[in-house]
Amino acid sequence: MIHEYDACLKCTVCEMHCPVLRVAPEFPGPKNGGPGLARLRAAGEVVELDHLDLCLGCRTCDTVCPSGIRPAELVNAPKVAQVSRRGLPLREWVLTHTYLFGPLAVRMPGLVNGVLANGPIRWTMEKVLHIDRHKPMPKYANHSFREWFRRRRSPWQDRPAPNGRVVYFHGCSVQYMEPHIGRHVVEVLEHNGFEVVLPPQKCCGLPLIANGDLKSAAGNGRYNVQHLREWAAQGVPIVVSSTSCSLTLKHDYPGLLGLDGAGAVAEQVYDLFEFLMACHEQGLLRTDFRPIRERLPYHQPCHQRAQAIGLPAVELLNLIPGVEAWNLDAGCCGSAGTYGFKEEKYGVSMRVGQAMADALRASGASRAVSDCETCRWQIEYQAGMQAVHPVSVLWGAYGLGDRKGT
Amino acid sequence: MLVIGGGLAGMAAALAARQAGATVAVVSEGAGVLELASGCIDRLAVPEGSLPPEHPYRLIGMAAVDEELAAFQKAMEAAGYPLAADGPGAGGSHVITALGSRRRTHLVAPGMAAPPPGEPLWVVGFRGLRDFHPAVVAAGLRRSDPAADVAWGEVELPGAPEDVHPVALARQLEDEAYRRQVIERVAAVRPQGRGGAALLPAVLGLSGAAAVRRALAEGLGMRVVEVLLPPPSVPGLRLADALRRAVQQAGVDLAIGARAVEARREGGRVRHVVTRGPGGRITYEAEAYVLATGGLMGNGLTAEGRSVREPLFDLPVSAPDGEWADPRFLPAEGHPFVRVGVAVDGRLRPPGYTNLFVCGRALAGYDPYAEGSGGGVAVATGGAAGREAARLVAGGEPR
Repeated sequence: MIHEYDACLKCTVCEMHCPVLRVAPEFPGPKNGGPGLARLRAAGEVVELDHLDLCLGCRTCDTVCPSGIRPAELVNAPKVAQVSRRGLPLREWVLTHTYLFGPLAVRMPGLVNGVLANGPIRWTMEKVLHIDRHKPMPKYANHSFREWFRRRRSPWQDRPAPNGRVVYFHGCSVQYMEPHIGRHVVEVLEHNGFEVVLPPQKCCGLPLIANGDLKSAAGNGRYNVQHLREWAAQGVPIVVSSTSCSLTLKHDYPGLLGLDGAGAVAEQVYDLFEFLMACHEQGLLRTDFRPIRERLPYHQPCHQRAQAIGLPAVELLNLIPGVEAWNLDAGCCGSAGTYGFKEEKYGVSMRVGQAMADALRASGASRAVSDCETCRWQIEYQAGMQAVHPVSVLWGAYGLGDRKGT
Repeated sequence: MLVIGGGLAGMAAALAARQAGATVAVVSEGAGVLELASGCIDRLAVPEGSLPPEHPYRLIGMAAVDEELAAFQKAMEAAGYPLAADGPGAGGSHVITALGSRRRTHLVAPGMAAPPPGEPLWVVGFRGLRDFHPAVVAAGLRRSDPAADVAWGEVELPGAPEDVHPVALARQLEDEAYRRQVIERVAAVRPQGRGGAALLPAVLGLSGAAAVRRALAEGLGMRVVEVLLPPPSVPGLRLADALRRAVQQAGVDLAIGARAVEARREGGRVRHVVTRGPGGRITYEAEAYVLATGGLMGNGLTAEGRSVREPLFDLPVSAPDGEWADPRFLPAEGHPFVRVGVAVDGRLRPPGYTNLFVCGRALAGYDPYAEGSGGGVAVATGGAAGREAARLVAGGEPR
């Protein structure tokens, strides 16, 4: 039987682009740790490679491979095998289930955020859970996105939306930590004549996949597919504002997790800016922007790049008069979701992100743009610069912040 | 217009087409394999007169080849990556390899031009960097020039690593504190009173390589020249990074990681191309298309036994007249199967197509290995194809 990894020519292009190998030479790398190790394991060799879990899961190797192999999945396979035998370790469970604490945390955000920012508590978390004490935890908001959505009035409540409906998959960070981004997404879509639908949804499962728990990830995935498939069947586009969630829905549900019905859902899933750009190309996007005089460096999230959809956010931001947006192209931020919070990986994470932080500081800009939440948090922490979602810039340029109730 | 393939040829096509005013997108399955090449662009190591009429250089003409190479050099310089050209009568540009040979090339990567014959040379290696042995380099240099004044030395890197990855070392050397330690160690083994050039492995930094070389040259009081290693190649990575920057700065839409799987043709026109990747199926409609998907190694051509196909458009592919392979392993004139590819007209269009142009390794009629022409054919036919496509999009008269 011929396997995908048999196509590996050992050309090392993946190694040349791997952001971890550059700063952590002890990492076996995508070639040896991916197709190389897979071949040995398939031959029945029991091989454990030290430091293999230093992989960020950025999928750069999948993207650059000239032979169409996905080394990132193969590198993750030993971790998956281990978790399926022994279950998720406590720390990994805590880091991948923040959505379970969300409903409580948004009731008492002051207390929760205070506790998570408390020095002695973080020190204890580091000693007990090995969650690094340096990087600030993302802050919970004082309401959830869906609460806001339920309470507000849609402009298309009483008349049909001219451009039809779209489903919005918001993800965990919008739901509990950054509901304002969800609001910007909804209002930008409504401004452009779409009615926004919000089916029930759970965490997309990417943090679970990255930590090796495919079973739980598939559980979340089945729930999401079940609630999205009817919309997909009607041809309603499903837009996603977090680039890691969109990659998971598009790629991992039908591929790695092999979920029933996921292929049909994936066909309708769009990254938010991919969708807005497609609207622009069809002449559906309003361009009644007010000028913003600003230079905006765009940090391309690895999981956005992995989708091979170009840079629609940069293109759309540059439609705003006065805006000069450009792709920073300074590599991975190093945060990689839960990775940067782990004690033994914090140093690697910061070394990976150094080039990006240096480039941002040298840009002379006052804020950065990125459509992945953990990239934005890393930018704010490591570069000391405000980081916003591109939709927030668009929302401002449409003047939507002037409306009642802001 | 749409360029299919993001290797050297595809990127050269995109740059040229942008220059000519077209709106350009590039889609590619992988990121090309420049990281396995020298980082320099070869032109031709055999006499021009020996090229057959179906050779890509002959099809577009040597004048166009040199125009495209010059345009590429200019575009890279504008992007902050100055490649030095092999001027007429200059005796050729050379780089030094890890075997100590002098290798002829055309556009030389910064810091790699070989010192002129007669200059005293001092070769320095790093222990643990397994593809660079200063004694081997020195012996090779003496073999090609028995009168050469060559010395060599080796230093241990901080931490005495057993195995050093060239990219990791290149990145480490961009850190000032680490670099200072390395320079001190290199300076400590330098023979007293020796001038000339210091030859070091080509691992001296990534995007900050110019600063690394400058610091070394200052610390040693010698000219610093980088020596080409076997793949993976740090100069190749620098070129790939610089090229990607140049293409993005030019305003090209770049989508790497999706394979073109389907094309629709109506009469002589390509209507659309569909890609499939982690981001789903995407349909691209363009006025003109450039096919830069590579040869047998890059999956731009696929082979089953002696049947070679171009899988996206099913274009006719040439076959050798007689034997496919020479019984010798490395015949000087190359193996016939290496010349297999898509046959095109003088405007790089395959038969029957009006808005499709083919460039780079997918083309028939040349042997990059035997001729030393790989980079040159990619850049020249890429540039020419990009310009032809842009002209078609603009509605201008074909030349």
